[in-house]
Amino acid sequence: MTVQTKPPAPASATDDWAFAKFGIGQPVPRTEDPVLVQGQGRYTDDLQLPGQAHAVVVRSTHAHGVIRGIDTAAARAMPGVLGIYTAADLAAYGTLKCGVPLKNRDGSEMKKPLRPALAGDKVRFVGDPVAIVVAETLLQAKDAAEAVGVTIDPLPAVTLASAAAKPGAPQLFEDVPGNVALDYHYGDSEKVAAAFAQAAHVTKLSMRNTRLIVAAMEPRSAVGVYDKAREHWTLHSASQGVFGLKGQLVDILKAPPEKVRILTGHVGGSFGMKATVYPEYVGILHASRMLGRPVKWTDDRSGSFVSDHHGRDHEVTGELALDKDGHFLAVRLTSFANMGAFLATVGPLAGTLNAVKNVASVYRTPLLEVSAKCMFTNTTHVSAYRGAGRPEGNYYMERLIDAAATEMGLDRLALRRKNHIRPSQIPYSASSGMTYDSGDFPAIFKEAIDKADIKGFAARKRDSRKRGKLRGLGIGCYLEVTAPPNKEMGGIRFEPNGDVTIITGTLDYGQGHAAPFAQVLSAQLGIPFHRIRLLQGDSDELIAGGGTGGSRSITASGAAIVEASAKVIEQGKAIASHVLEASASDIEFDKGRFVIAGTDRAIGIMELAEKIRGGLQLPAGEPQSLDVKHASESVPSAFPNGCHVAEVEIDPDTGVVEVVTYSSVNDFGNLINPLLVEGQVHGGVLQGIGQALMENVCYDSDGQILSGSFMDYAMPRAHHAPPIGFVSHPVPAKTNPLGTKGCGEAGCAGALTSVMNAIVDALSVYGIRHIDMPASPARVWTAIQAAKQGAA
Amino acid sequence: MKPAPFAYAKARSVEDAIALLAQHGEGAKLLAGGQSLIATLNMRLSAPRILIDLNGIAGLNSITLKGGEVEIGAMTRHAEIERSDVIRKHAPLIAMAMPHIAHPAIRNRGTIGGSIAFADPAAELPACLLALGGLVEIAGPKGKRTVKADDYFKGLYETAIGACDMLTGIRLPAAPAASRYGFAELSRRHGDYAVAGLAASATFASGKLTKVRLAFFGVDLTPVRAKAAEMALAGGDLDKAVAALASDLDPPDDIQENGAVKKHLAGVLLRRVVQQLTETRA
Repeated sequence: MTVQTKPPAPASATDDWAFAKFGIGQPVPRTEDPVLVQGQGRYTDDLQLPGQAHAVVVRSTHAHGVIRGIDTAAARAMPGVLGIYTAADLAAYGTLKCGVPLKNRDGSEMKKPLRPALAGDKVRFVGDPVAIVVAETLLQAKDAAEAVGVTIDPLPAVTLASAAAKPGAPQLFEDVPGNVALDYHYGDSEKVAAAFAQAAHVTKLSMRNTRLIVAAMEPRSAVGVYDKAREHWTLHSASQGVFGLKGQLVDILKAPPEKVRILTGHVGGSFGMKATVYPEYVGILHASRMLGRPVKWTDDRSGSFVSDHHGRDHEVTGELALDKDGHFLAVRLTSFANMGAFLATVGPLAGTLNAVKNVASVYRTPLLEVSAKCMFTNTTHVSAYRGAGRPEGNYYMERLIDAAATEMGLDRLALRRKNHIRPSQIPYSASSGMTYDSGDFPAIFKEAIDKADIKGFAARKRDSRKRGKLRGLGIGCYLEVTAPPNKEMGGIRFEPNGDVTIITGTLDYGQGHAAPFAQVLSAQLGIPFHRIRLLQGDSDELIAGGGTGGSRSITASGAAIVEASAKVIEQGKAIASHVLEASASDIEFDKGRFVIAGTDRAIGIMELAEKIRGGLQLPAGEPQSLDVKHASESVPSAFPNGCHVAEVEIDPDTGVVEVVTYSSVNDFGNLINPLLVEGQVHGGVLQGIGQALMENVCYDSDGQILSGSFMDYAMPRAHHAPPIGFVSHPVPAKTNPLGTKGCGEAGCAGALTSVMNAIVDALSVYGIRHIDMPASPARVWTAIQAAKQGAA
Repeated sequence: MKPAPFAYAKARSVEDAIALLAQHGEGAKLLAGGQSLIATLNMRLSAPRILIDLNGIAGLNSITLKGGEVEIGAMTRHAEIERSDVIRKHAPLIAMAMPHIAHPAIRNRGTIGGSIAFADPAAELPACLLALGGLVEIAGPKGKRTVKADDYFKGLYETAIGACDMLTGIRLPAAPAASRYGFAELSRRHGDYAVAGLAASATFASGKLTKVRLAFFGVDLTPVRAKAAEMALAGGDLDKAVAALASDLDPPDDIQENGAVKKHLAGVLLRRVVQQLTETRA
């Protein structure tokens, strides 16, 4: 059971009309929506398999402690209970693994403590799973889970990464002294130190990149099915791509790859969170094997707050060295990155490698140094969250630039212009080791400044003042290094009913892949848009797949579809040569038709497919169908960039911040579907505003999560969204066939920087030079009072 | 079903509900609109043995103007109050507070009786009741009684309602011509529980405020009158009134804000509400 999305056929459509309406660059509406808005989607929890039992997870209520005993006797005797499993039952399986291949600064390996699916000896965060209860019904499982007695001797807990690094801090693992998982370093310390020593000015800021919950609309859910006769495992689960998830699961189950299948239906948001194997999946697969029945587990929202990985959570000291004219000489980040109690699959990436890649952004910054201590703490594990280090890197840089401008008495616009990488310098070798292939940062900056009517700001500020409000304007330039679009499948299959299926290993978890991917295929092969389906969520269908993440999908799947299309054309020419009775070398492919060059004799690709289905006899050794299973080689990372400008109003009496205007100019390369791209920016911007203004995971000193529900954890709502101006300023990427750059994470990058810079700009009347996220009313008001007292 | 198992009884009348309460004692909870109770049940933060459902009792959802008073039945939904002409004309403070109560979906189910009986210290309606000097109708095993708003709130989620009692309605003085009302709250997001809020009533004539009642919420374990500030306002001195809040209020820290900031915010609210009270009517 997989999800396939196919748009309805237009009532009457000529080919030309269809190409104009569904071509590359057209704002084609999401083809998923008619299904989803009518409640006909198939999310994992919608799956009801015959004989399915239900699992509930027993979680630690202590942040840190030694497990003295787990008493399941009473629970086992309760109605409907089928089985209760603890760490000992899962001992034969492999552990959950971190896949980040980074080394400590001294070259030694990073510490990767084993994470079994269930905690056996110790619990290390509130929510750490200790047992799985399976019963006939969900309610029976829930009641029985409450009857499981877990005896824990509590230990002191530590939740802040910098606190975990202090002498005497609680130690999470015996073999990880000082709680340091990874002591990461990038850059030439001596050269950077020399640059700072020679600098005319050094700006230094301490910045907290807030811990966030991921808050996908659909909680995680999975159904495990073990088929004893075939010794075969099936996991139905949300994911961000089934190919990678299968690889992880094969390793944990210690099963041959052909004995494991992952099926993903519709997914209601993920933002990085559903990409990996979670402990619950191992537990229900084991339970299914023991019970001989499918076992379903669906998290509830309270569970999601502690069991889904969290995002961000870095404590960073940023330093920028400038010469007397304001040229950047070097940037240095020294940070603690909170890993939580275990290393998530890509947990250490955001604070280390992605900080390196993204911090220098659109600016000439000859030298770069990043030191990051990745720390274990008694908190939920932290991993990728929309951007995974990219928005943060841009945020640190943009805050440093504004602070430097203030300190040096320079205009913040001029300071940025002075340091922008020029188009003539591209391809540009950045100090991060990245080579920017394309971009026109000065032009985008100029357009953003114009769109935002910065000249009119002084008048708007006066108007706000009349109403008792402080107004600020903030600029957020960004450049993101997308995830390397590694090997991706481009499968094209001509179906018996005449449809054509794209098979690819990215995965739509809300983005709306079906329309743009079909637009790409339609443009390559002239296949009518409404005949194209998309299949992503079945690991048995994939020969490669990098999943969706790091803004890679359109570039990765797009390149794979383009390359696969070329193979289809090649096969089609060979087959058409038999139909048209001409040499294959004389056949050209034009707008969906195989044509004998210089003649009007031709056959359309759909017609050719029909003939093949009809039993066209083809010589052995020639292609027998148009179908292609292609795996593209990696294309390089792309560099989406842009400039966002936000204006805020602050009520100085209460500290309430409102984002009142927002505009953006973005270079995402060529846009396949501008409607969806603009939607990605809207969502990303509001997500960024959420982090900037209100979202914050709080723990108490015992490691209990204080913001454990949507009552206490503030998410942005529709009315927090200003009208978001969107302009596309494409400078096509040169490193992939479609010239795309990726747009999924850029909204966050633009919003964190522009909104926080606007807030500090508004508060600069009090001499405030930095305020941390979230800029809650309490924090803003307190900062104003502190500044007033300091001035008095 | 997300809650722990519980028994359920549907009360047919107020007397029936009280008899059921008497029968089941501590383990029973009354279910009105359920907008606070069901959430705590679903999160398994509370696990009553039995829910006594009041939604089948006839005659508790009326809004009537009678003898200079507005009577509101306990089971009247917020949404009904929000749309009521009687409320708009004769209890305008309640009308002003309505948009601040959570969201439309919650207002469709939530009841005024539930809100007043639960007495969340950060909720709007208990403060309005206090600001208006209203009366609370309570029925119990020994019959009916009426409690003044000033005597009703006892402590955190504690009121004059006894273990086997039920709130059946509230009575508010109908607004006289010279009466003025003010309402303001500061919350993290619109519809959230207030960080601090103020409901106020007064009479305004010849440029002077009299009969001032200021009921702050979100600043203590119950809604609280700021009596020193009320006197200062009646004396025409707003600055003095704001200063008087220092002695009127002693807000504890909570997850949203520390007490000192709440005290400051109370002053901000007072200035804004006094402006409402003294604005020239269109």
